[in-house]
Amino acid sequence: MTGVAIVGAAESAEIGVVPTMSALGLAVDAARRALADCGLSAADVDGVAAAGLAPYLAVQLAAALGIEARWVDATMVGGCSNIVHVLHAADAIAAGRCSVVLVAHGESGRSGIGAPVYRHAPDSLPGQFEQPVGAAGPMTLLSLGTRRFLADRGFGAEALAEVVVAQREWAARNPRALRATITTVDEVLAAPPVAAPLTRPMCCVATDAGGAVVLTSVERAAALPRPPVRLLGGGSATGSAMVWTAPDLTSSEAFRRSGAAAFAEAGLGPADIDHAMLYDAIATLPLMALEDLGIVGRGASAAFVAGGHTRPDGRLPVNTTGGGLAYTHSGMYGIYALLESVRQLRGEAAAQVDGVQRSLVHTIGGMFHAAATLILGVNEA
Amino acid sequence: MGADRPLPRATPETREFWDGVGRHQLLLQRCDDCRLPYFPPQPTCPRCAGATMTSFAASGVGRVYSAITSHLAPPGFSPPYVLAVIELDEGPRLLSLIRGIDPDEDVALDTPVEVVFEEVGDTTLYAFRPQGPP
Repeated sequence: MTGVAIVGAAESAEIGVVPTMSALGLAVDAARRALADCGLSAADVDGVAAAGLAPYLAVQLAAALGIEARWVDATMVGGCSNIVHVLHAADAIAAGRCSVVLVAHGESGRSGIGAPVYRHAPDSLPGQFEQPVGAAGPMTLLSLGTRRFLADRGFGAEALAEVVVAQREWAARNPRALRATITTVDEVLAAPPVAAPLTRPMCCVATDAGGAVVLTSVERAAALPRPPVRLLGGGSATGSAMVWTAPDLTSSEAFRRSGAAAFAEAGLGPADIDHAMLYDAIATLPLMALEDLGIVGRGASAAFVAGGHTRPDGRLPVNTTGGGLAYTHSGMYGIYALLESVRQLRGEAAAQVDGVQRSLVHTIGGMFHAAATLILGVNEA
Repeated sequence: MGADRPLPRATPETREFWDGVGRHQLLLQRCDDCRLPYFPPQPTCPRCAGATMTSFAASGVGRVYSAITSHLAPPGFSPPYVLAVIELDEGPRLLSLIRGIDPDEDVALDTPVEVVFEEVGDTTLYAFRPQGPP
């Protein structure tokens, strides 16, 4: 893993409400910009990875760009998929199966252009045991354990609101953020409920967006124009078949397993991390991730956030774009978390934190179906 | 609820369960090897991967492990309604509506609940309500 680096990275030119592009168009746009970022062309790319609800997105992307790949990954495990792709690409590059890999995503999450509509078959597991009883998408499923989490930790709903308040401080510094207004705990709590105790600001935005990264060996990266962002460690994990089948909804076994693998491979601990992107489809997730990754102890996440430690000038900036709650979230969010880590490590983020050398990206897939964690760094000896 | 409420369709592995619901029984499977009761029904034990299991009728009694109040309106549902993870006395958990409560008031965690069955057209579905007085 330590022999591979991200050398190109870009979001689609536009994010938010993009009526001019399909999901594939957004992926292609981001891919072209990521290639331009590293001065490589499609002819240089021999591995491609992408995933979405459409099963052949990776192939359509490669075809659109004229890439003839000898390595392909279409692993689809929800929002962490692109991080899983990065892990797989690193192994493939190290094994010599390919040399330059494009990992890309595009999703018309708000406008629904060229976007498959997902329907659970009535004889699928969700079709039998979730849809008939009132499940209404991710906001009503991801949130199921929140009240038990709050009760078990002795937190009030304010703990969720504090996550939103902290992240708006970052969003306000980012011209591309969808929800860029500073807010207060009282305002967040008083906002319309979606899946109580979650109110609207505690749930992610729905946007159109695309993102892409280009990976290659550190040897090859030395000849390319951008400072390489090295992959230091990573992990992935499976979770539960349905969110409510997990033995403990207040702590994700998948988060713990994935995070532990990433730290172990990197030879680092939570104290070594300068910056973190913690996938935030709902406000509960960063609190759980802080604990499950061992960044804080069990029950200490609320005080950590409320104490300002994840805000600008805090000791661990988290979700520095504003995150899925305030910046962008197209449905599968992992690529956007990764891109902000890369920007922070390169020193070119909109809300740049001084001296970021090691960043952690932690992502969830589905409704706690999977998780993937990546630790990246610059200036590694 | 409305006629467009999504309805389950059984697979060969879940047919026995849904037939049981039709008889107003909540059937659980128990692994013949490690004795774990589990839900939903599936062809292997989720703990030991055992290949044989035996169904038994659950008591239908449990408690609210966690819950949300949904303010969304999927087909067949009018907000607000309470969606809960129910922990059955036998151990396994399932997802269910909570009937017989004011959805604008939070249902307390650990509220004792009991299963009820409701007919939606030709299909029987389960739900839970707070346990009545003994």
